[in-house]
Amino acid sequence: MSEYYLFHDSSKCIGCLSCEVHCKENKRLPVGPRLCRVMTVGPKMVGGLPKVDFIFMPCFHCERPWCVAACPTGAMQKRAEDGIVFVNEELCVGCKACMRACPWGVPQWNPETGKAVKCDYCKDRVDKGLEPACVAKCVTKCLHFGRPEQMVDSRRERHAKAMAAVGWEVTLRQPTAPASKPRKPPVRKQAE
Amino acid sequence: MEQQGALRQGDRVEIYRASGDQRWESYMARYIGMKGVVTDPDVVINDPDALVEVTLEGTGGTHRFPQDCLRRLGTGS
Amino acid sequence: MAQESTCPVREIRQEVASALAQESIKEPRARMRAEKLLVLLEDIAQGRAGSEHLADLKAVARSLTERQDAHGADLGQRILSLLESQGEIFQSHILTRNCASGACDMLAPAPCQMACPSGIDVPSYVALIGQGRYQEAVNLIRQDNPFPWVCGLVCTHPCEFVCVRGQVDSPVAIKELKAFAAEKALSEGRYLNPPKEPATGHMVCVVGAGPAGLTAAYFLALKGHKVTVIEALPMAGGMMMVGIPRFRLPREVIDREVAFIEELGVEFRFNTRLGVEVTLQSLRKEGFEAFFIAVGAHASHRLAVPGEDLPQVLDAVRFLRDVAMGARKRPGERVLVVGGGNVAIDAARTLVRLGCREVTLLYRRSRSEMPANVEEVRQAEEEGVRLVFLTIPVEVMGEKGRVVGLRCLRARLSEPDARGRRRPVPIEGSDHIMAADAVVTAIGQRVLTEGLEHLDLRWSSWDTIVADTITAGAGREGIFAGGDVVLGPATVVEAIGAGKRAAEGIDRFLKGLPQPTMPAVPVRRARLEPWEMAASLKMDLKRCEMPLLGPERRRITFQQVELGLGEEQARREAHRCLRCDICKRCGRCVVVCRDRMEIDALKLGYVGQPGESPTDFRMTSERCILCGACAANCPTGAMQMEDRGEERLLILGGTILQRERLERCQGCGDYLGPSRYLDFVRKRTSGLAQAFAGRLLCEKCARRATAESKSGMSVPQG
Repeated sequence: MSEYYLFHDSSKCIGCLSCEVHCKENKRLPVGPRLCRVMTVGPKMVGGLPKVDFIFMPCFHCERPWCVAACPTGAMQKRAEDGIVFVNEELCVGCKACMRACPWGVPQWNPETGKAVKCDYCKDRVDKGLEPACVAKCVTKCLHFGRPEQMVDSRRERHAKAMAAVGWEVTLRQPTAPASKPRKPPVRKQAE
Repeated sequence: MEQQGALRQGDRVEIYRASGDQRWESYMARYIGMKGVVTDPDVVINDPDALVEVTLEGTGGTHRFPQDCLRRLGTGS
Repeated sequence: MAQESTCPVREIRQEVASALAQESIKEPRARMRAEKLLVLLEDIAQGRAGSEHLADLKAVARSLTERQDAHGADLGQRILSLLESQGEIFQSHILTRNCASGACDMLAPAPCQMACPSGIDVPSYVALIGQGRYQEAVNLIRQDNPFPWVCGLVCTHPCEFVCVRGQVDSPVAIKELKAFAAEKALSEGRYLNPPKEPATGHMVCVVGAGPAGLTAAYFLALKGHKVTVIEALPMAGGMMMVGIPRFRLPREVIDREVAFIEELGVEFRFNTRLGVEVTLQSLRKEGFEAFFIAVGAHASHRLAVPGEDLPQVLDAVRFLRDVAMGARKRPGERVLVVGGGNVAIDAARTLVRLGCREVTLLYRRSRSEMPANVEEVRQAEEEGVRLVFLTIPVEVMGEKGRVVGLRCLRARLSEPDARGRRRPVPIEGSDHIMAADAVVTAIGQRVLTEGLEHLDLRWSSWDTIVADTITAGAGREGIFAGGDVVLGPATVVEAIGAGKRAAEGIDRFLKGLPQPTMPAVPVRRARLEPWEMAASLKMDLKRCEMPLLGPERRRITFQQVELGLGEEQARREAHRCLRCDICKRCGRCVVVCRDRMEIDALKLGYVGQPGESPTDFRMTSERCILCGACAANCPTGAMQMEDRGEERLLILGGTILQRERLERCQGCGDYLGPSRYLDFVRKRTSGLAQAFAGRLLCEKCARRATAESKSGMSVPQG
């Protein structure tokens, strides 16, 4: 897990893919790799109306990442200071073991460099005190990034912790009843 | 590195210095230090004055050199 | 064979790239121009550049110097001065698609092509032969060398000495393949001359219709000049015709190939000797503006022993010429040939065919020091030529004006002198007489200088013309020289190379263009798809054996000794080629597989230093998991991994190193990867929980399953 959370408020999300575009722009990626994905779920009829769910899928920066274990060259690393999982391009030889190992298909192939590339929360930006590109450019402001301790809303915190910590156990559960889905958090002013 | 006899086809040689021969041309200086194979020895009488055809390793090409700039490294098998 | 040499194109490209990456060029317009420079340089380095690139590069660099950006201006200035000092290298990248340093991955030349004095694109024509496209193979050869058949029969093939396949087992039979393609192309139709450029109106006179002169005439005619060849002999071919015996090179081979040169409008004047029938002045009056002196080296060194002037003492050059011109009378019953080079061997083998009862070759040194080609010495012995070593002739014995024998001394080899030479030292009192009724001397050739004095050229102390071997310029306005007249006795292919360079030099002279200062880099003519075959087959292909005429028949006829390859044989031979025009043998794949992936599946010894480790393509399949890291790191695309139907294949320059069936995604049925690869990953992650209950899913299905579980709904397929 990383020390950051990246919270997606799916009730506000309109599936515009700004996040994906800016993610690629920031990493100067060619056609092909998509480091974060907005997955469209649905439509399904809810109360007689069709409903679509947008699920935002960046990297979960797992506690014990499959990709890091799979990587034979030590290119895939987890930062000790904050838990961000990233690729060291110098060391990557393009064997794609990380792509094969990741249960969510996070690591992507960059055909230009012949190396793996993945979401690293835009660590270059984060290290400068900026937000990841996807968050910074989200049109509806449905993406939130930060450290859990900066949170004021306890439910959001719970959610973030759950998202960050348990990564795959949460997501690999059998499909859950809609009721247990994180609901839209009440809108509040962030404490300064 | 002691040479044994005249240069023969297949011998490995090094262009180890410039030659004083008047048929040594300035562009040949770029080949000093390169190694190669004798592909056509002096043709008939082991004449120390005859030019010898050397094919340089890698991408140096094939050229005729005066023999006094060549040093034998090994014989052809 | 990783070439560790530098290339100005690549170096400046990297400088521009790092200046951009480090954002040291601040001014936006300067930056834009630097980006443009990078694109241009990238094109040049990758072999994608067109004729406009150099001008564009210059223009953009110049405009960069005018911007208010110190770093950018400096870069622009550097590029301008590079173009000034090393423009030829940039040119060769663009025009010949060849980076002689090998630093530009896609343009790294094949060693065989670089070794060829005429610069033939060997890998490409060999590949065409492998595909059965013989006519095209010959047309490709003739872009660089108008004598594919002649060279196919008599070339000394320097290319084969550097053939990388030679490090695996033995070199590809490049020369034999050339002869096969030429013969096949002619038997199916004809050669196709390259298109001629429009007529320029310039007139060039080539002196000497040997390989150098004819090649110069061919290329000059292609450039649109009017070419006349004057030749002292009554036929074309020079030493190819009168120096090389017919059993090695049939006359019709030369005649056919010369005819195609004539077809370009080249005019021949036979029985015309410079300095006798015509002079430089008379030719200039006729309107010739440039001259290529390529008269060869047709005079012989003398033995300088008493009795040499007896009529039965012949020099080999004249003897071979007379036989070539139709004189088939044998000089004697017992003939001694003096000398140890190829000419001596040719003379001895010719004497056998003329019916001499006993032909003995005398050589001053030992067998191992004989300069003649080993293969030809062997054939001569098969034909009954006797070799006697360490024997020095001292006097031709005559009676009544006829040769009766040769008085000789035995010799031993001295200790090596300062230059490492071991000289034959006569042994006191070892006089003996070898009976003979004729002697043929073959101890070296020189240039016949008669008739050339009025050219007023510089001559070396060895009676060769002093000329620039890059441009063939002989130091006088409009006069060029090349071939044996400059090099001393050399080879056919060197003469062809000299003729080709001379044509370039003469063309530039006529057009008033600057002359090159560096040897031209050979032109890459194509980048053909490699022929696919299994690794085991590629390894098993052994060098073809040239079928030879039986020695009994060889003794009595001038029939060609080499019978030529069969089609099946030739195609198999062509498939032995490792395609060094695509694989630059940098060894990156081996390093990645061995040191980074720690799989060590690739056994490619030939990418390292010769003899360092063995090469065995078959070994790859034992360990290779088809991860594709080698292919991802191959700078030239020689190593390819591809999924084909149900299989994944790893192919290096056509050699199939590994192939495995692919497993399928349990979600959508798409192909995932071979089980070896999946196992490799599974093993590495075995300490972690299994995702998706151990189901094998492709990336798409994994994402969908995750999204679904997060949302509780089903994601639509697609």
